[in-house]
Amino acid sequence: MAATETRKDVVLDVKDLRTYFRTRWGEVKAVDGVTFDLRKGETLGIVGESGCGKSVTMLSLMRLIPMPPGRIVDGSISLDGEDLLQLSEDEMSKVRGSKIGLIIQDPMTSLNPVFSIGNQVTEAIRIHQDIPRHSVMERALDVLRKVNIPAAETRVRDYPHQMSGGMRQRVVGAIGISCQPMVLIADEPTTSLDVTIQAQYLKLLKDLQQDSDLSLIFITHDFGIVAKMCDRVAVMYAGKIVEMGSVRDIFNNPSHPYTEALLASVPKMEEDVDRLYAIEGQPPTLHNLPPGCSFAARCPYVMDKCREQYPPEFNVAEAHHSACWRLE
Amino acid sequence: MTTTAQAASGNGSVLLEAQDLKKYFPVTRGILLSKVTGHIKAVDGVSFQLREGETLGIVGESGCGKTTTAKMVLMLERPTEGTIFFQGDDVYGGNEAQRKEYRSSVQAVFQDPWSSLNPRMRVKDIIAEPMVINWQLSRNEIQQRVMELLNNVGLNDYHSNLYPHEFSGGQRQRLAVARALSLNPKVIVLDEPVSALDVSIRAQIMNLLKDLQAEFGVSYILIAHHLATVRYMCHWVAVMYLGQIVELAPVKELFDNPLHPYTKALMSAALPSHPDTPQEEMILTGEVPSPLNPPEGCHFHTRCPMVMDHCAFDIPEVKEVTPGHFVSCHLY
Ligand SMILES: Nc1ncnc2c1ncn2[C@@H]1O[C@H](COP(=O)(O)OP(=O)(O)O)[C@@H](O)[C@H]1O
Ligand SMILES: Nc1ncnc2c1ncn2[C@@H]1O[C@H](COP(=O)(O)OP(=O)(O)O)[C@@H](O)[C@H]1O
Ligand code: SF4
Ligand SMILES: [Mg+2]
Ligand SMILES: [Mg+2]
Repeated sequence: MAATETRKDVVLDVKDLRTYFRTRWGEVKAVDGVTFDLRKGETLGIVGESGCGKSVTMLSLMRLIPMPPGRIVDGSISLDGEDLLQLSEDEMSKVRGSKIGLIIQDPMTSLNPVFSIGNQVTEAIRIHQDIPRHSVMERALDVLRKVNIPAAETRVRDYPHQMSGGMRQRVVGAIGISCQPMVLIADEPTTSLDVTIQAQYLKLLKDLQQDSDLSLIFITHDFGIVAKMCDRVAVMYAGKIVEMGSVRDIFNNPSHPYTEALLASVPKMEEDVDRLYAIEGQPPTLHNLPPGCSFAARCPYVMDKCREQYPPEFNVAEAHHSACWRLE
Repeated sequence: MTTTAQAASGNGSVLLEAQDLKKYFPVTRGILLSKVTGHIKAVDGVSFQLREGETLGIVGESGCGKTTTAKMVLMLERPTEGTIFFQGDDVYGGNEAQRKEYRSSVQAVFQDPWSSLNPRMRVKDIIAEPMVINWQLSRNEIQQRVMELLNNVGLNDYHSNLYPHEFSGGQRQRLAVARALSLNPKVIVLDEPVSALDVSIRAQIMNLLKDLQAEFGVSYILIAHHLATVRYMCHWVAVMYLGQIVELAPVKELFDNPLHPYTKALMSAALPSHPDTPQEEMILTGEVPSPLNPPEGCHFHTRCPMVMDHCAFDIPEVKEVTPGHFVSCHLY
């Protein structure tokens, strides 16, 4: 394996990350031993249904987990060779935005309603970059143009509520890239957008990435986004990555029953599907997970062993692994 | 839209027909909101037919008038102009008894199952309510029918004593379907019935709806913005843009041979189901204009990649390009 070769390109290396929450129902293991890396210029998709721990994973990377009730209990997050979990809060706040940026789902909550767009973009730039005062606005206009805000010079005076949802999402994108981070995390950024606006936004992200060799983590519940945007995919279920591989390996040879079932449960626009596969039951709640494989209760292939012991990762092919006893 | 040919090219008989439906919402100003300064043309001349046992999909981006159309079909909103025929009768022309009969024949399931489920009522009462209001049945008969409906939607007898909050999102949507079925309706309007559900639950509900249609012969009007869902569920598809149907065709015809540039743009914007799916890049610029002042001529001309000079002032007529395939665009 050319591991030593490719290691050089790794910008983000996450190992055995565990983030738990204390709730009145008990401990919620929202992220429970997540390991992945991200290379320069690469797009990694993290797919899974709501509540499986996607956002908590990303908030952990940004060290934005509300504590309490949350706590990163274990693991390491190495960004550009530096372990983020060892940094002081001051050091971390410099990293945020300048080396790693986040675009979240609901732009209304990530934009402040009482400040103008211009104000918010310049603020983001000022915090993280040491550039002369008079050129901050220039830089802000620059990024707003990059995300295709028409007539940026006049729109900077607008407030978030004066913009459409698509436009607001672009502004959030502008803030995300304003300091030229190495890694940009997009957490379901298009979920609330209409399809034609979503297409514009996805193209924008691709263009930005190509311009600057940005590494992108795309969080989504939609395999269509993965198919369109990603190089590699991690499939999450109940706080764990159950399968990971190149986007083609995952689509052509899904090796975890959950991945297989999810892919078979979505209708296709390009062809007639006779009958969709319907996964029985519903995703588990994350407190009091039973021992063994978390998917066992819904899995069509379940065996006795599955209910007793959590399956280890088995290699399916090079750089393609899956945690399922069927592969033993 | 002339829909005689839509009738000729289908199987079942026409159950419901919308004729030139319009809904304009006044925009008011002043202290008493008495000065009308304009109208939001939420629905602006929509015609279609729905056949027995079939599903008509209505697709389009948010704000194009899908829900308003549905509300007129459900008699929750009175058309500004146009009307609806049900089994040949003008539903807005009839007397109160006929309207009551119509209302129980046409039921709805909405995106948010909370909206139709009273949180303080037990499931059995929620499902029984329409029957109690509309039918003279004994307690026993109602009880029996509630169990039957629960079983129809894949729930069990013991669920009948629970409250809605004790159910997951997917189960609540099953309850909404059970309630909608209770009066043996001929039509169910489904407004984004799976959008709010988890991915793995969507297929359960879609399959359930298909099974119920096969069993009871009920017709659906399915509102969706997800084209793949429409392809899976529908027999006919109407594509809406700014209050109007720009294209209407049998499902296979629409997906094999989309004609209207907006339909093509929607398809090219839709996400692929595989990374190797060839994708035409036809990305629309700009956003949907306001329905307060829709563009002159073809409403789509401000965003259309194929726009011609006269599109900006000539309103395109509806043309039937092949039997059952209607399009409203100057290219045809
Ligand atoms: N602040 C919090 N307090 C308690 N539990 C939380 C908190 N934030 C997230 N969780 C739990 O963590 C799990 C994963 O959530 P999340 O990462 O947001 O899921 P998603 O995959 O939908 O992004 C969920 O079960 C959620 O209930
Ligand atoms: N009660 C109302 N008063 C004023 N405008 C409305 C009302 N209901 C809907 N609209 C407007 O009508 C248009 C169509 O809305 P709607 O039918 O809900 O669209 P869709 O369901 O396709 O998203 C939108 O511009 C919406 O803002
Ligand atoms: S480990 Fe067992 S239960 Fe889990 S996915 Fe594999 S076969 Fe199914
Ligand atoms: Mg999330
Ligand atoms: Mg709607």
